[in-house]
Amino acid sequence: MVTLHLDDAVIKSLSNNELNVLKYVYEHSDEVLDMSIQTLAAQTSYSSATILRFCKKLGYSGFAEFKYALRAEGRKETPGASAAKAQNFNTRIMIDSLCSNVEGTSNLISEDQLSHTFRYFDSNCPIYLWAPGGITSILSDYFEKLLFSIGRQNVYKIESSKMGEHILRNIHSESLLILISTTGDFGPTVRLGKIARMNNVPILSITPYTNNEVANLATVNFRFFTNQRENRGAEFTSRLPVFYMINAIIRCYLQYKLSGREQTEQGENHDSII
Amino acid sequence: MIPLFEKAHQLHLTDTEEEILKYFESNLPSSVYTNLSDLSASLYTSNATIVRFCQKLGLKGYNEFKYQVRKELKQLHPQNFRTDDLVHHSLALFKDNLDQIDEKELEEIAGLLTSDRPIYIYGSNLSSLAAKYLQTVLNTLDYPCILVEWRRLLNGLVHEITSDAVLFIITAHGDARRYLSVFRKAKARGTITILLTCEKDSPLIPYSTFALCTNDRNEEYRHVDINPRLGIFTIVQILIELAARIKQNSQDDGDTFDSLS
Repeated sequence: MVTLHLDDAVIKSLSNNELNVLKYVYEHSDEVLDMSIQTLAAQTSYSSATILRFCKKLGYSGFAEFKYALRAEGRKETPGASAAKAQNFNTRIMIDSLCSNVEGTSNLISEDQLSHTFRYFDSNCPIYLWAPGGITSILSDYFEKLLFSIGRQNVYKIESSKMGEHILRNIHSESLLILISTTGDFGPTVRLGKIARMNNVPILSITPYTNNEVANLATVNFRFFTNQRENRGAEFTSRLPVFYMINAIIRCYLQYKLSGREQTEQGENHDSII
Repeated sequence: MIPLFEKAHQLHLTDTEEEILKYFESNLPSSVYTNLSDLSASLYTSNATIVRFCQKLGLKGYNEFKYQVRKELKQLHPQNFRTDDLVHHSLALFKDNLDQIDEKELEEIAGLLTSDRPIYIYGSNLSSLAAKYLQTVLNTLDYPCILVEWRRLLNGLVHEITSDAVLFIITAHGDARRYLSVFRKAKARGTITILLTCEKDSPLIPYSTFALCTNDRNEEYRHVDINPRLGIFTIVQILIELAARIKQNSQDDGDTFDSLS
């Protein structure tokens, strides 16, 4: 990762789209060095005019000069430089990026997915919830507890992959398997997904926005935005968007259930009106 | 007229607040899409004044105010009512929660969590998940800490722990009185306590060294607690981000985090 000379004023002058470009450049600075403006535009899904405006706001004449500066910075980079960058890293910016991940995730939730999900929740089919261990298991716990607390029975948490395989090989296809994966490619999770597919068990998955194996196996797939991180092999990717998503699913289901009940009650009492 | 605006007119408003109200009424529906900073700039007032105005109406903040106006507008024109409204409401609450946090205080707490002191993180029921999340990630970042999920254990613990320990207690609920003795004891012993709750008037606040309050609502569905604690998870995530930053700084250069703690 390289450092660009950015101060608060420059960052404030950037629009949300331009900030996203900046985020992309920060995360992929090595690749950006070899990109044309069109490639970067395609990668970030913005127009090349946006990229150009972004470069100009940073004080460069155009994309070529921006890349030149990026390359020059890259060469200068020393351990000290990255410490300086970390220090400049402002708490507000961090919070904003948390917020944009959650907002992005929130925008990805569609009514279609929700109504599909609610059909499974409404039927009294058993729900199997895979808890792969580590931090992701906390998410499975959260989902499980919230489902219980809004009165959905028949939710079973699977904590061992051997037991999970055993259960999935023998269950009725009128069940639901919930898989949550922070990378979307975790081996044991993919494996369970494949077994469920083989036995025609529908899968609800929560995976990142990238193209990933778990999502490809799923019947209903919810996606979220996050940045993958690890500390020397132990990952600590933010789970906040997933907590947010699970909460949104539960909230909507509760509302759906309550309004459904109201409607049937109304239907019984005031047939003539409807 | 929108019921919320009717309600506002009945309240005792300051001149500035009248102006805010007038602005919203005369610029509908575009005004419900303005962000807080733009609005305060165009009205020559501060963000805090606008938030106070929203709170006068019994709402948590500006985002919920916008959400409410939008909702009531939709009820007046029901043909374009959408069910994903609820998702927007959660997002509005999430943003309001972020708007009200105190960054300096959180930085200070992150400094404590990453110091050499013994750290105990407590949470029970659904709050235990937030506690576990914080504990697991801090351990991942090489800041060892201990998870306590049993209330009795916490009661006993507070008599035993060393006075340089930090006690991080997550409790969403209003029945905070059950923790009162823990906080009293901790205060008497000089232990640092950090309280994370969503009860604004929690009786524990005066006894805690740091008190963080989120905008989650304690709700029940058929007598079961369904408060999702998303605000609490958000605060926990921010503390994690700050701890990760401290970790990164200390890896690059041993003493860069002195300024933070």
